Amino acid sequence: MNMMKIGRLSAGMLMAASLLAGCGNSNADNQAGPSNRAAEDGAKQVSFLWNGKFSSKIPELKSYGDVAAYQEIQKRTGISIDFQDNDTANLSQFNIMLASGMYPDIIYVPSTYPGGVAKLIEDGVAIPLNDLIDQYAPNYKKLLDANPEIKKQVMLDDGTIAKFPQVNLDLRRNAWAGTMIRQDWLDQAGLQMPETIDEWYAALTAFKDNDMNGNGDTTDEIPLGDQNGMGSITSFSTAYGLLVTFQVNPETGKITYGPYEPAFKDYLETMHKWYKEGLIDSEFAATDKKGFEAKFSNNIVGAYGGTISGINTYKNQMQAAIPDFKLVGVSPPVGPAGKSFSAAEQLAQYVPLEGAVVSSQAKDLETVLKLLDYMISPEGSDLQNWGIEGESYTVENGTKTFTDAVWKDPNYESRVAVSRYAYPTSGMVKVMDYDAWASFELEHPEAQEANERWFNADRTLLLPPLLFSGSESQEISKIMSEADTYMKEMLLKFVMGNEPLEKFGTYRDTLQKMNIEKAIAIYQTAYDRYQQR
Amino acid sequence: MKSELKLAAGRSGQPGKSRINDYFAMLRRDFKKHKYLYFLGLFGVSYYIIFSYIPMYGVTIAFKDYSPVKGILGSEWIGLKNFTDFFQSFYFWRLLRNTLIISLYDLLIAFPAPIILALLLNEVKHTFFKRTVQTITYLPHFVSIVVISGMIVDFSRKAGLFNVILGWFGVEAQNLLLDPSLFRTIFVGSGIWQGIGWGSIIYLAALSSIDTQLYDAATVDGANRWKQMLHVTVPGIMPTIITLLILRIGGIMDVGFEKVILLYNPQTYETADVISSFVYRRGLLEANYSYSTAVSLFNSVVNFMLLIIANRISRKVNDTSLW
Repeated sequence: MNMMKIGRLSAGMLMAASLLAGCGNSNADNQAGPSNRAAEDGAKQVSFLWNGKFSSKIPELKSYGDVAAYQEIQKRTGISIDFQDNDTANLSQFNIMLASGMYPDIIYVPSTYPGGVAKLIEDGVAIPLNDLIDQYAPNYKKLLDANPEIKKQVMLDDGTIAKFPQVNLDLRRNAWAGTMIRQDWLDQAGLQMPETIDEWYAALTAFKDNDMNGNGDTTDEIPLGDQNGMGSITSFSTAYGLLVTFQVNPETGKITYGPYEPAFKDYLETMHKWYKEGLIDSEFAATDKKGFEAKFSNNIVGAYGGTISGINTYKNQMQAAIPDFKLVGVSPPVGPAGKSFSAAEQLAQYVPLEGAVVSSQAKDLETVLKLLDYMISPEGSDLQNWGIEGESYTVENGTKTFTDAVWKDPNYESRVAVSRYAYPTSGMVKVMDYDAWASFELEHPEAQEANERWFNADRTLLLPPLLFSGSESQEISKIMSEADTYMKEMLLKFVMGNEPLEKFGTYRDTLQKMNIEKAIAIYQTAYDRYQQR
Repeated sequence: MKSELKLAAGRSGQPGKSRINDYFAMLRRDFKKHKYLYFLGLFGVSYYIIFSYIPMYGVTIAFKDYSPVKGILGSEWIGLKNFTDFFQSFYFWRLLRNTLIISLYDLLIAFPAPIILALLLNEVKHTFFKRTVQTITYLPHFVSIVVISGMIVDFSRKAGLFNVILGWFGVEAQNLLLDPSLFRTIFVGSGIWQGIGWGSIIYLAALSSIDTQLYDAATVDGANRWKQMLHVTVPGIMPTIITLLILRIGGIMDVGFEKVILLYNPQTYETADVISSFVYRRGLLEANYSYSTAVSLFNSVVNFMLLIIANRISRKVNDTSLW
């Protein structure tokens, strides 16, 4: 039966591949139209596969080609872009594209692709760009030369530069996740914002023991909620100098796997205590975003870990009913490790793992490079972050601000309305702009404070984006798909008390048997290679 | 058409050239006589050839290090590495155990349920009531598994419907999907609720084909309703039951991943993680196609063997078999 399924699957893949190939052909046919026209006005055509599915709440916008910024880019460069998209919920669509053997000129590679950009070069799908950048991409070259740290993250271990990524010059933009707490509840309990693990314990206990939401029921408060299974509780591991994944050991500077460290037991002990005393949502392991939102809107959750947009969304939603409502971001707690360590790995990433590569089938390399260079240039980035000057934004004394065309759209809220012009909060081939991003994500002063606190946390634990060879990434995936499952399972059991903490030794032994040390060693060599770039 | 071919195949089973010639002559005759039927059959047969048989060569990626760029034929052979990786996996026995236990529960509880419902409905003489019950029990079958699972997740919450009901009996509220010991009950139980009505249709059809004279004869012999059911009705639908049972045994390693991944969480992996959900994580999420193909191939081989064994036993014991 399953054999048939496999059969069908591969048939499906074949079909899809041939369909895709068919699409490719029909695109070529379609291109014949515009490119004939293009030939008349001297425009060139480049196909661009975006890493994701384009979707917009504005029905007129059907692809990036409908967004004003990209229309303007095409106009100014004289290059017409054929935007294609790609569902990245899983990799199968990307793999079907690869299997079809017909690659678009520019491919935005998802970060989850095993082996990443290096593998695509090895397989002959993408090409190295070092010389071409010298020749055709002056803006990108200038950017890389001026920022050695960015150059280091863009290049592969052997020095090859192959991608045009989203660049975060100002890392403040990446401080968008952390732990948040109800300031109004703290005030009510007469407590300061918690800075240490002990103060957190006191605050959560106060939330639990008192009728914080004033509905007459002292038992319905959930001091620490969770919106995605473990996000909230894992963020407290930094107090012990640990992440719940691979990290840098703050004492030795070597790579380690947080859950394999002996100190992880202390962290588990604390979390178990909190859980046992009812400080953590008893359903945290089975809570999804929807369930969490229902709880939060019911005014029963005191603190949780999540993204900065929660501060804005919940304030807009709840301040009518609760005038004092104030949700604030808290610096990561200080514990036995002695520092306020950040767990937000994006704070070590000027450049994420994904990025646009040029395919080996691109014919007109000059045009492709010029387009990418324009997109990442200050002018191209401004277009993509702010839209059209005079229409969606204005400049005064060197400061850019969005206009009422964005803020006062009759039909859509501003963060949707702006997508007619640009995408200030999401990635693309561009240099991200902090101010454009902040205009939406830091709507309320609480969000600005949260952004600052999270940004200022210590980044010692965080790993830069590392690259693995094909065989390395296979080995890691083999080890970690077991070890990671086991770790998550045991983490829950330890916290919930289904497994006594005396078993921590057995747990470590099992991780060792699963070859976790080999995985750590692979990470270490990749880290060493990164340092030597 | 099928039975005739079967007959022909039986005849040609004996050796000798003339026999084979006879067979082809007969096939030609048969073809001439039923050419429109053959024509109609062509669509079904070509569907299976194109979509099920031709793509089967893709199964070779179980023995290869498949890379989409190199393609199915171009990828390197790595022998049985994927299989040994799976058998040596830390979770192999747990996955196998969970899959088999859920299947077994399914076989023992969920399989008889529609039969019992059909027998009960058969005894109901009030047509309107019978129709109403049938319609109501069919309905859940048409609801998407995602919606069903969403309902189960909501009902199982601490403040959810199940807990409210359990509360009436003094059971303390807890999130039911966090308790590994309850997962199988929830999984199989909701499966019965969803499938019982739909599953009973085929038995009701079989019931209607039982000769009423048999009941009359049984009545004359003094059999009451219970005895009639035991000695007329049940034997009457036995071939259907056996056929479906054999098919079910042939699918014993297939516990679909859709509902499992919608309901499980790391806390319940120890009872909920089955082979197919593991394949989903490794194969689709991590894009490890070769490995997951190897696991599925192993599954299919086991299923195939079980199917043959079950069929053979059934043929020996009570003369009912698939082929």
